[in-house]
Amino acid sequence: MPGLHAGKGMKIFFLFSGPFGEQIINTISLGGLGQQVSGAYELRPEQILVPGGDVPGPDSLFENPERYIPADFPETGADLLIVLGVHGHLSDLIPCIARRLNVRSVLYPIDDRDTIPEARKTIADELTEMGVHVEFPEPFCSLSRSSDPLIGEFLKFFGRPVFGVSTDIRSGRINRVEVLRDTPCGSASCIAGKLAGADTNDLNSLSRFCYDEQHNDEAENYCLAEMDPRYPLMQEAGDLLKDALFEGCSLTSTKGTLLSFLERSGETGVEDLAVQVVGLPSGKGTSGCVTRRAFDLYLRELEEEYRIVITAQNTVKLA
Amino acid sequence: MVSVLLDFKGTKIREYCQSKLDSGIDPFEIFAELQLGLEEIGKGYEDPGFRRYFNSDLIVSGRNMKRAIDMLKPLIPTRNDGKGLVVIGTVAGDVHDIGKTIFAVTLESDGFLIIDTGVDVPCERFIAAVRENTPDILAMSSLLTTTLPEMNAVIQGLTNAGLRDNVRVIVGGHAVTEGFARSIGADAYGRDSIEGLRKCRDFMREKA
Repeated sequence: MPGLHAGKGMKIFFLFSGPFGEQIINTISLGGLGQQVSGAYELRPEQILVPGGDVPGPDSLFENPERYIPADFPETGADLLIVLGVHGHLSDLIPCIARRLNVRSVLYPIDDRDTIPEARKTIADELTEMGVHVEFPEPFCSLSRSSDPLIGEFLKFFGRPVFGVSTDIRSGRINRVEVLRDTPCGSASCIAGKLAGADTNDLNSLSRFCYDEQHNDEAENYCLAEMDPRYPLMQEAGDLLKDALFEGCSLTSTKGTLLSFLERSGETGVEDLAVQVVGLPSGKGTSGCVTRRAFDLYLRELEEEYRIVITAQNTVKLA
Repeated sequence: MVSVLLDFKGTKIREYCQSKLDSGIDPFEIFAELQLGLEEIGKGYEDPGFRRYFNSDLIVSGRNMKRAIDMLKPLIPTRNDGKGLVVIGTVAGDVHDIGKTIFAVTLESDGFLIIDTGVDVPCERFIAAVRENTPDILAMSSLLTTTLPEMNAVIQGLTNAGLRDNVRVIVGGHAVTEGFARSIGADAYGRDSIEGLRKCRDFMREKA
């Protein structure tokens, strides 16, 4: 029964590939959930090459996944399976692996188009039929709520970042930043450690620092999501981080800007609203966001929170 | 080799370089080996049939290559035997420095003298560097297709400043092709650092 395994006894298994997966496993293991890790296995396409050196086609993987599970796959159990950076070709193995591990929930973040499961809907259907809850957050650090108790437990530690910030009232400078929820990659913690003394009156600098540090490869942990402008997951992650920090500092985040604009202007077309909020010219998203993806996410959330109404004519108004 | 380059913590690359150095291997040889690993990851990323390496692999391997360069570069003897002076940089709008740095180290280890202008270098800075230093060669790198016009702007700028005839221009980087190099009037295109080195040697032979 889902729910029985939630709480401190929850066991997590990682199926991963490459440094993207390694960094997240490292962050999660050191960031409060280390005791709950029951195992990790690196699954690379090379491991399941068929004779002749070719990767088996999606049909053969789909029809007989059991055959392609590597012989050294560990005999262990878990409650939550987290799939990290595994090649999209190999996604047909996930239900089979979930069955072997006897998991109740699967977290399948997508931080790169190449890791999008080729048969996402089929996999989701198959897992659901097995009684396994599955979610595909895109990017991983956009995950902020879940109806699943196991993922809910995970969210107490990792997901969309949340900061608790104390500032000097007179100078507006940051005294201390507490990371209430870290990003799975660990970049939120890294940035938090560098924010003491930052001036919250200088929105441009604060915002730029956040965006730059989020993918600063000189840092201990940094965002490894895809950055292609056609699929700007890294940039979206930057928006989420900046807004989390602004919220922690009680500054106006993108959601606040959205609501203020609607308050002033009344019902507005979604596209007109996007022009006001996305890619603001005055610095990198000081009061708005850089990506349309983040804008769409915020809009969905505000609608779910009953704070706005999106009409059939694709306009937005305050609820 | 690839696993060393893909270690996100960066400890393996240091251990790898140190153990090679301890066994008396020439630092440039280690550097060249790592380049092969980097190329393998690049090929796995670009394979149109089956991409095996992703964006994160490129970022982490690039970061590790930088760590290796930091460690090995001071140990690679710069022959500075007057083979030629090269001004090198990554064009404006592009902050990628791995390809440019690899090329600079390769040239330097072959006896060229290098003036590295860095990354995100505006057109005017390239022109000023050519005017002030009168190099034999100007080398420009670009990873992003969006910044390709910058290379053209620099060549036009050199022409307008009356400097073009005195300097050979070589271009390279992920976004550049031989055809593009020809279309903007560059003297050469370097597919990789070794081909680039060969062409720079040719320039100097022609000049001699």
